[in-house]
Amino acid sequence: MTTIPFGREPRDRDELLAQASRLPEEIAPTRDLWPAIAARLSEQTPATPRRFSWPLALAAGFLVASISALLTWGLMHEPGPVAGETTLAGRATSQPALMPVRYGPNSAIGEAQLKARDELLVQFRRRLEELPPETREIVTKNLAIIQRAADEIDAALGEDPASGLLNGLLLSTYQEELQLYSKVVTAGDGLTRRT
Amino acid sequence: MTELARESADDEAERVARARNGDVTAFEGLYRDHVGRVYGLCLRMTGHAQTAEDLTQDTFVSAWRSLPGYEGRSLFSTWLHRIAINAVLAQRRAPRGRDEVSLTNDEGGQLEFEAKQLMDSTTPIDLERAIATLPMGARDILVLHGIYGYSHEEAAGMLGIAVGSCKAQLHRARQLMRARMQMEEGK
Repeated sequence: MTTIPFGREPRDRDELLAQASRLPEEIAPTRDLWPAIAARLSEQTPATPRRFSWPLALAAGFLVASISALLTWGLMHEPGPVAGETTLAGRATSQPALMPVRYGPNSAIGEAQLKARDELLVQFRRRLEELPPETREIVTKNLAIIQRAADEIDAALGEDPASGLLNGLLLSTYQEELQLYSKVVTAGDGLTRRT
Repeated sequence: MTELARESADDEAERVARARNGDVTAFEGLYRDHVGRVYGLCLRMTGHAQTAEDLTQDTFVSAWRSLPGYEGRSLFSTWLHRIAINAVLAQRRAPRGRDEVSLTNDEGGQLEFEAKQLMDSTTPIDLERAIATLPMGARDILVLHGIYGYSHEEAAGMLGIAVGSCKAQLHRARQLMRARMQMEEGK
């Protein structure tokens, strides 16, 4: 087996890598892309530097993960509704406005993903109505936390689109949103079956 | 660094500074200098000319928007490549529409590589084609490490994977490439 000694110009020591290294790094596009780029640039000027806090974005991501775990625990240990109370008590309480996460300009979320999220959101809203008011409030607050984290990371990506870590964090945040919906839908099933 | 290279680097630094202040002409100069490397990377990672062109545009628009955050800690070309790679990775995550045809087979290897534009008398097209048929993970690292010369640490950071995974993918790429090149020779 051929091994590549790391740190000793390995591309020159492996025939295949040596061949690859001789391939041209540059390939010209079939057409000039500049006019289309220039048209898009005219819609925006370079962002002015903002005081973005990396630790804050990371903390936001960590908070989302922690809250998600707590939420799961909370939903699993939620006492079932007392017979007769069911969901009416919950509906009588004013519910804070629930908004799905707004995807920012760096999200690269596709139409199909949005459609899948919206379908899950319909079920989520229905189940949320059936939860006790206190639980519903926690869920809504958690969604707001996820939104805040998504906004922070999206803003950071606007300034540092080269960051693989930020891209990963943003994806994780969106996954957290979907997991939250999914957990509520699933836990809601359990709750409504309890007597 | 040679005198010529130093002058070139100075030119680039000046153009970056001007572009940061909103000078589109300076940014066009940066585009002209770097579009070939960015497009080459996108084409090799996606294997699809139209997608590569779209991603190249996205990369430069994103770079323009983000220039104030570029502090010159890495080469401008490396910074652009990182943006391009993130654009490619984000595009891969996005689900395909009903009318879009997957570019990859079950292994992530490409069914058909649009290599027409690579064909000239000096390009070893068989090697390009063989690279294009690799599964995504193996192809990514062979392109970044083999063609663009990034170290395993750099490539791993760009792709968001562990250095060990990077090395394992390169080993896999080597094995698959040898097998495919031998098959080509046997035809």
